[in-house]
Amino acid sequence: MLRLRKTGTVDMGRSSGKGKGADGGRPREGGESLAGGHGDWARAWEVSRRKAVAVIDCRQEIPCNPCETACSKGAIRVGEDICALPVSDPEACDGCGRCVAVCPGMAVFLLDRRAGGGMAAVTVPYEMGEEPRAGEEARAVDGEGKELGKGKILKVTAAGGTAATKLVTLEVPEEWALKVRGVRLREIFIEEAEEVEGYRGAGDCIVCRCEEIVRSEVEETAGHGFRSLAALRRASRVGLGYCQGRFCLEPLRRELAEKSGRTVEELGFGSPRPPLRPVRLSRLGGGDVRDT
Amino acid sequence: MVAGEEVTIFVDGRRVTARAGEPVAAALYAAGIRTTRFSRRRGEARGPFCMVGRCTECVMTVDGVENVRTCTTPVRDGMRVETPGGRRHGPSGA
Repeated sequence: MLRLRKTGTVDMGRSSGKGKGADGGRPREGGESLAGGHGDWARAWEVSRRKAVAVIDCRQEIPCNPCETACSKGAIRVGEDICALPVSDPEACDGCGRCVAVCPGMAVFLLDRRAGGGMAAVTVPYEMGEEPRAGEEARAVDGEGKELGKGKILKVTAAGGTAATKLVTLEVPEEWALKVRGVRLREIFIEEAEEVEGYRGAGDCIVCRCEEIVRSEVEETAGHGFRSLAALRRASRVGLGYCQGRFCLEPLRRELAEKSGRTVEELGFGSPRPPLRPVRLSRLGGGDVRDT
Repeated sequence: MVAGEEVTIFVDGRRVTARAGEPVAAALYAAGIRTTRFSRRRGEARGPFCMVGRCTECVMTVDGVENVRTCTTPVRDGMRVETPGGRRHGPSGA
């Protein structure tokens, strides 16, 4: 089913007197604006002045509903269509945090602005080995893993999800409270993504699933001296299939960086063409919308 | 439709019992069907890979519509699911 989300009308800038101004209601990738296509965010923001509430930042229509089943208050609804985005009712939410703990995509956090003073308490899941402790400092990171700043850990609880998940409550300024998606206990330096390591160890595995290109083919094509990612993609067809490079572009980029002696930053990213997933022409024409 | 209710779908003409509301790919998996399509270049058997509607490995022909991602398409009673290009490895599809 095609679901059109109601767009919130309250902007963070206007409601709190802080942050950025109105952005015309356009969805933003960072998802930090209340006008960013999350109808329930504006309400959650208001309600969070009175109690801790769950805020859902789920943007991918994947078949998944643990948040709904975990909620004992019926405050989260996915509904019959398991691919639908969850909708939360901040009034009904009691801030227990079970949804935060069970969401496999780390797409739910708790927001609590009761303390006031321009600060907010944000609760996010934590599953790394190190033990977070209340009173210590931690680094808040956004949905892309970029560091937002430091905040004090107010509370660490066992969550109520799986044993490996802890809920960490961090005190952060209201300005970026809605951007926080995770915490890090110390600075880390990522040399190479784990999945790239995995791919290197897998021999002549498939790199591009859509176009059926294996690793040796990519290496051979990359060895011809292409200097841009776009040229390599056109020559090899890697990343030009159905999925538009969701699975293969990163390994490809690293491969070419190695072969061409340039950095991945210099190579830039591909230019995936819209639509980002196969869409029937009738859908674009306003016709049958049964299949998503 | 009641979620979880038993329904019947037809996979390449074969009757398969499924639960209403579950993704087609899940119903196929439960029925022991692992192959959803054969790759175009090498003719290799392919099955659901990402299970969240991203990789398109699980696309099949559903009720006559081609390239439907079965992992994000809920089962409906009487649904007809076909392997694109037809089954090549016998009716079990394993």
